[in-house]
Amino acid sequence: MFISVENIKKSYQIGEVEIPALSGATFSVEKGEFAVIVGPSGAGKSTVLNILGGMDRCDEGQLIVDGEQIHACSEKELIRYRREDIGFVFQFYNLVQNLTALENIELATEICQNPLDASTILAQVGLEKRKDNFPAQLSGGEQQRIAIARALAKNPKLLLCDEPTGALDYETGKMILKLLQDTCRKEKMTVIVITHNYAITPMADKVIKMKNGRVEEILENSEPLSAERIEW
Amino acid sequence: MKAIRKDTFREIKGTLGRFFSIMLLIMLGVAFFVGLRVTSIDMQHTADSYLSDTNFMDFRLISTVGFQAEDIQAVKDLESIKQVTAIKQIDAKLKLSQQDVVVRLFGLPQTNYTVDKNVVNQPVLLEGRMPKNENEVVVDIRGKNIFHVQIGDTLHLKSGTEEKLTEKISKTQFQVVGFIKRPDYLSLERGTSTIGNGKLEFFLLGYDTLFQDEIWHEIYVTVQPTDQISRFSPDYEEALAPSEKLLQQLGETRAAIFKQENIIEVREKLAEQKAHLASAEKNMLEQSSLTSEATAFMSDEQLKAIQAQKEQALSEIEKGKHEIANAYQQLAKIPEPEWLVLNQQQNAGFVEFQDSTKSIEGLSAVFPVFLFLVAALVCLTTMARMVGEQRSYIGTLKALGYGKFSIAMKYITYSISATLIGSVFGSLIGTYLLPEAVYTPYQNMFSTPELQLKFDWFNVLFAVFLALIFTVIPTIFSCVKELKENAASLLRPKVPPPGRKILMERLPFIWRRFSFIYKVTFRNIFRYKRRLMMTVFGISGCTALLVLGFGLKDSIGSIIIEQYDRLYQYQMTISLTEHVNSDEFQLKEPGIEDALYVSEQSVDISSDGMTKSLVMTVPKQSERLQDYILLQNRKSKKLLPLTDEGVILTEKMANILGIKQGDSISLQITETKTKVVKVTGIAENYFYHHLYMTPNVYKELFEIDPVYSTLLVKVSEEKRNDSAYVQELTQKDEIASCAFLSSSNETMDQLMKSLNSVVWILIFSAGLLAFIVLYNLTNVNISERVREIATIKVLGFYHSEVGKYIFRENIILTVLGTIFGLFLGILLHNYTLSATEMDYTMFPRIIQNISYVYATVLTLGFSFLVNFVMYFKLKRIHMVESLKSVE
Ligand SMILES: Nc1ncnc2c1ncn2[C@@H]1O[C@H](COP(=O)(O)OP(=O)(O)O)[C@@H](O)[C@H]1O
Ligand SMILES: [Mg+2]
Repeated sequence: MFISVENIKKSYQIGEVEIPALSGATFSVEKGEFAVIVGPSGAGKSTVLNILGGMDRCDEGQLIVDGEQIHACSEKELIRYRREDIGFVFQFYNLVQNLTALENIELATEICQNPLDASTILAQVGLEKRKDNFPAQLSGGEQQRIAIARALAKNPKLLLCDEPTGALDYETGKMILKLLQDTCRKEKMTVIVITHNYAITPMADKVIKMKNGRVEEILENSEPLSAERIEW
Repeated sequence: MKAIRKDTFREIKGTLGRFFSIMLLIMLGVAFFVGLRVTSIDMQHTADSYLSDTNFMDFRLISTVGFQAEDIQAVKDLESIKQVTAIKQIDAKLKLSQQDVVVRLFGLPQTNYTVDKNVVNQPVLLEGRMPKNENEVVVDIRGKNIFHVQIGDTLHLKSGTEEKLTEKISKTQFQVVGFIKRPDYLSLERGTSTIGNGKLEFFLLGYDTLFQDEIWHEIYVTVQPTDQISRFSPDYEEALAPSEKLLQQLGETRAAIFKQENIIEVREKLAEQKAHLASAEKNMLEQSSLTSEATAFMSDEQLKAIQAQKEQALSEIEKGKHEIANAYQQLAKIPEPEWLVLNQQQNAGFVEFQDSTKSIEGLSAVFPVFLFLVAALVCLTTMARMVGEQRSYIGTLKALGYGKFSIAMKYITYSISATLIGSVFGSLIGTYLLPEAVYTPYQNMFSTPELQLKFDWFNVLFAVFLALIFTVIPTIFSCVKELKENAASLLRPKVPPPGRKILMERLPFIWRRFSFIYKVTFRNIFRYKRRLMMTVFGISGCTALLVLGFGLKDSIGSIIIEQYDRLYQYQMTISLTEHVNSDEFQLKEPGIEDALYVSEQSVDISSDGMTKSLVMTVPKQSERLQDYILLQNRKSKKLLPLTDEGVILTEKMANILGIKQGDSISLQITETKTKVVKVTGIAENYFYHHLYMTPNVYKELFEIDPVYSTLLVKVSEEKRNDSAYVQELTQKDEIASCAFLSSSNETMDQLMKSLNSVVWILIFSAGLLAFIVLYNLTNVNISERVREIATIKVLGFYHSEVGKYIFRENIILTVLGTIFGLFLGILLHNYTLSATEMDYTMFPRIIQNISYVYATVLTLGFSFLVNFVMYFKLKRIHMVESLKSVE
């Protein structure tokens, strides 16, 4: 098993009240799999992904990625984990406004040990002509492609995307999903995508349905659809 | 409204760092503003109450012929005159620690010695007791401080003229029983004398019954209604003008009467006598010619008797003639009678004090304004950031129907609270702490008592008003744009400023050379222009203050080196005893390499109604002076030759009198006679004032030969500053005193010591300034870019890399600000020196290299400290939280 999430719990303390965000989530993802986590807002999807990405810690449970015990990592090991093993894509892109498209990618390649070539990656997402543009000069879809390129350029073991199409229109959203699926297929990259949109599930190898901080159901598609063929 | 007020206080609690930044800057600004202004006001108050307690004169009268009892009565009889004290005095020499010094003995009616409130210029007893008989005197405290006179010492006064001292005073030996100060000698300056080297060192106070003649030398006068008016206000001079006029008129009348009684009438009487004598002589000659015919009938004896008679008569006539000639001579010696009415502007001590208060006040125009400007900038960025952060909050309030004004009130209240709290602390520091520190260096120069601290509402309110302007306007300025937008657009996230290429990128040969991370840094630096300006300005201010602090020490410290090592090429001055003839005496001693005879004398010079005293030096051989004293123009470094064309004046005095090369000055030859002379050069000089002239020019002006009684001496290296050597030389009969140049700088030493407190204040303020500016900017910078920081953290930047990513900008801006600040510091240093210079010094505009190093290292140190504190804040930024919401 490449990724194993076992009985992870996480709750937030707000004043006197304890709000449980995750109350024992368990699932696993194989190497090269395209997994989708789906569920209503507030189900704990982002929370679990943040823990998976080493941005947050769980209160209880085990998280093993490629044999490493992430839940037991020190602060410094966690940073190294984010640096070398994880690519993260956000709903709102989070590009550095003051850097050009190419520089945003270089920001990531600058620090890791085995990065891919920034320009090659940019060409891969089809934006080599926009390399000297600043984020403000790009459309939402283009910005998200840069964000994906930035995540991929680090040559990570795992690509995590939190609602990557949430801020995009239908067509653009589909294009982004296709990019993610293609990357998974061609590069044998493990990709986990969060969405609250059930229509996307047919394109995944594995669908993890969440509700109220628990995994409700895990489905495996033996024949996932390609991204172009799904509609909503 | 109430909800908003509550919200404001919650806001302050939540952003204490920013709140304190504004507060502390305002505190600094107000403290300096109030402090510098109040110091001069406090000094004036202190002086006013000291001067009125001691009954300081409004006028001092002197006369070329002295005052008679009737003159004094006439002054007393004038209306508007309150108190009159007439005083007898004599200047004499005194041998103290191997040195001939000139002192002045005052006589006061003994009844006035005790605390008689009617004595003008009341002496204040500092130590010991007042004299109880004619054998005792009290001595000016300067005699103790500089010449180490002690209670119980016996002082032997010697005459400074050909006349014997005993012709004027009945005793010449006195026992010291106490030390005093007098309000008319406020500074260290004691004035000039016509004897010895012309420099009065200190005064003595004894019984006036010592004096033989019933002639008074000075009259001190106070005038009716001046008690309530400050001597430093223009009202004072206005109130005094009528009395001054009355006194001048009286002076003319009394001088005319004196002339009538003592000159004209005497001359008439002499003329009468002369005529009488002449006719007697004529008669006799006629008689003798008559009698010559009769002699034929006379016996030898008779003839002999007649002859004898004749001879006797003739000799008597001769004697009479002689007496009359003598009387004429005596008469010619009486100067033209004239009274001089001197007001406080002609009292050196008072004027020096007044100048000092002005120069301190002058400083208040620089520092505080500078600090207020920085405060305004900090306020601007802080508020802009706060408003930017709260767009959606403002939008919500607008949507709820709150007006622009009530929303703006939140931010205005915020900045006003910071300003007011800062002002309160600033006013307290400015009123109660700063004046003491600023005054300390002056305290050694003036005999005024401890500073009286007073809370000055006017200046405090003025400072608060200024502070409010400098904070509230930027606040309004920074929220006006947001308030104009409508609720809907406010609720949408603000588009961050788009990235842009900077100028440097258009120079690819430079740009390409930078590593990726530096490109980011440079782009960020130029992207936030306001931050760039503010940091550079704030940091440069810090560096400039530090340069000033260390530079002040350098300048004042280097006076001694510049003056006594560079300009003066000799090391020792020797005063010769009176009977030594400069044509015959040759100083041949081991250790003496060369020597030059000079005549030194204190004189008064004037130009444009201003009179100042200085030391006049006449070298015996003019062409050799340049080897002893470097006479050159400070800027062009051109040597100034001393010629018979005119005199050379030192720079500071030329500045004070507004004299340029080629102008003329008038020189006081005797108390009433002046002569005009041309200034052929203005020489570099840092301590005291000097006037140089050739013997020929001296002869022309003074109509006598100069007396060369001083030697400027070059001493061989191994004997320099050897006090045993001084002792040895002083043993010699011909040598009255000798001293190495460097040992005669008590005032400078005092000044240097007390300046330390000022330097510490500057360093402290500079540090605070740097800390606040950097802290605030970094704080705002971090909160503005928190998403970016969280993003790079997600990418896996280590803490130290995140730190570098942010602080590299700070460091570059700090370095830039520091460089800029070094130049700013030079300007500030220059300005401060010219604003604070004493009358008799010129501070060299020198800053040692090490001072620049100190200023730089300290600035960078402060900056490092801020970055260090901020590093922990960066570490605490939570990725998930920061990226969750869209701003
Ligand atoms: N920082 C936080 N403080 C308090 N509660 C939080 C915080 N983050 C998430 N939660 C709560 O945890 C639950 C799960 O949140 P999240 O993982 O963001 O849900 P999803 O991404 O599925 O919409 C929610 O009920 C949310 O309110
Ligand atoms: Mg979510």
